[in-house]
Amino acid sequence: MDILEAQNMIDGIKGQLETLLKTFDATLANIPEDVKPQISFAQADMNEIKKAIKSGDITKLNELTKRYASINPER
Amino acid sequence: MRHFLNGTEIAPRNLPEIGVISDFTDRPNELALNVDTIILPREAKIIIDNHLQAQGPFEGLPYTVTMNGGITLEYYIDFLENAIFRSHEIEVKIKRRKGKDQFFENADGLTFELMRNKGVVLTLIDVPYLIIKDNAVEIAIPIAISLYVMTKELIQAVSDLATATGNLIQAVTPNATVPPLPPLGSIISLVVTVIAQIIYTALVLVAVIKLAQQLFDLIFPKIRYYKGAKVKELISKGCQYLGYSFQSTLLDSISGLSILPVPILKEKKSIFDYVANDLNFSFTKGYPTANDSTPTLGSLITAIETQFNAKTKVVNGVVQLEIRNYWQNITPNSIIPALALQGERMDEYTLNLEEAWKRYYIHYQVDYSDTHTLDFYDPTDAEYSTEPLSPINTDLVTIKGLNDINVPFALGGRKKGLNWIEKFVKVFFEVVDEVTGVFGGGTNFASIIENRVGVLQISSQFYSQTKMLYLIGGKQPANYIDFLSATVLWNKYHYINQIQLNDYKVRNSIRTRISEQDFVDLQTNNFADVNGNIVEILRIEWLDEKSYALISYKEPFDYADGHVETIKIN
Repeated sequence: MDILEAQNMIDGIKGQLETLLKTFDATLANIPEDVKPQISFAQADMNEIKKAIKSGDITKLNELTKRYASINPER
Repeated sequence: MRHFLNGTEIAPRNLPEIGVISDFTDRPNELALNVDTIILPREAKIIIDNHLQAQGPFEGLPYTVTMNGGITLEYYIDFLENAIFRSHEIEVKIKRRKGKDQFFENADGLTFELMRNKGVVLTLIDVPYLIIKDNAVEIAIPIAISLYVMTKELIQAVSDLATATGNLIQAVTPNATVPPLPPLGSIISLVVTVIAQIIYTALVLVAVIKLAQQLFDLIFPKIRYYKGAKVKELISKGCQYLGYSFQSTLLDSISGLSILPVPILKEKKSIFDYVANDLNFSFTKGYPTANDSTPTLGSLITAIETQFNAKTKVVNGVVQLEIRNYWQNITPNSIIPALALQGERMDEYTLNLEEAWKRYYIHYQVDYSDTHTLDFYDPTDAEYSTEPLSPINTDLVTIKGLNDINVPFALGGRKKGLNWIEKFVKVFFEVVDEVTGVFGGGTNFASIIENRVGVLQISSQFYSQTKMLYLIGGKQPANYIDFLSATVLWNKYHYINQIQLNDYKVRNSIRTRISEQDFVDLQTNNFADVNGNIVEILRIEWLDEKSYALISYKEPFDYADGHVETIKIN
């Protein structure tokens, strides 16, 4: 892979990532009102994730990972 | 003339033979007696015996010569110069006190290290530098591998995120044929899956940022600082330490002229034990040390004289360092010499052909420890040749000699722009900046790379040649070469040494009547008006008892004009 290919690919990833995050936000917004309270954790955790990325806080991200790994949606 | 030894008037035994000689052609003998020794009998011997008993032979004894009109010449007896002791007299040599001889003897022995140890405060300059090595390919390979791995991981993470998000959207989108929504548990499950994937992607991103930071520090260590000093500051403080003041319109006109000594520092962190960013101290002392080409005040002055075609005069406690023809244009002196051969009433002169040269080579040092001095060799040397204009027999052309201007400094390279590896990596870091910015904030590596332009660049932490820099605010300006290059040294300072511009008649030992005041004035400026021409006095022997002087001088005479030319051959 040369540098230009890599740049193009990462540029593509960046675009995809931005789109995905916007889509996710929009999806959460479109969820029926009676369901929203059940998934209110999603928006709060998204904010935590953004903060952790800004500060490079891998510990925080690991905590979130563990928490999500322990969630059993079937309950 | 009246002679005083430590304030007491005395009469040397050889008084009638004593005259004073000024020789301006060579440094050690600017002013001396025309006899090798003075012989001091009786009370003078008693004064000397007492002095030697109290102080020993290592401290000179003041010796003053006064002339009519209140003119005083300060000397001292140097007992280390072959003093001969007899029963009733002593034979000693005297030297000018606070004159050129004494100044240079002291300056040659005065190290800047000693000055620092004695508490002299030197104003030092922080010189920002970067180590730009010549192993760019070795650096590029791991970067390319890292780039590949990180890109691949990001692609996978985003791809998985896309799948998870797609599933969620599908789940929460109303469908006309099926009851409005899937079970709440499924929605929550999908949301959790998406967030978990986002967290994973975020972890990859943070890892990318941290890896990029480490990679950045290794490839682009931060700008660090050596300590250097202005040439004028070093010379001025050195003169001050020896009890002289210093003047130089030459150094005033090139005020950025600075020296960066070789890195030599004891009790410091080793470059083998720490990464560059942890070595945040100057590796140089800021002033030249024993490992530099100019460890002493005297050697630094000599180096500047060589580099800038300059001369140094020491008059009445003032050291003046100027381009060699500086005094020619400001002389107030005027003398009227007689004919060379008085008996025959004939003129006689020689030509200064020993000052003609075939090659004139001005060059700085190259430093194989700093390959930038070789990589940008252009300003390092310049070579000129004196060529006959229209020879009839080329085999009879006798122009000869090499004038080697060997400047004992290496030039310091300026980082003019980004090199290929920096451009290569800059693109990568720009991408990292963008990707990390998706979540807000992000990195700013690219701007840090850009800020590295304009500083000193060297190829290794340690270099072996003292560097000469032209610094403004610690950095060399884009046009620093306009002050320092060998070609500029020729164009501004050395061109006057072309024989077409430097052709003279030389008259030797011309008898002339000059007053005692004229004699003293010529000590300050050895140029004088003779019959409407400004001539350079090379030597004066002034004989007080006989009321005349014998002078040797150079008088302008265009014997080379129109016969030779100077061409630049390199």
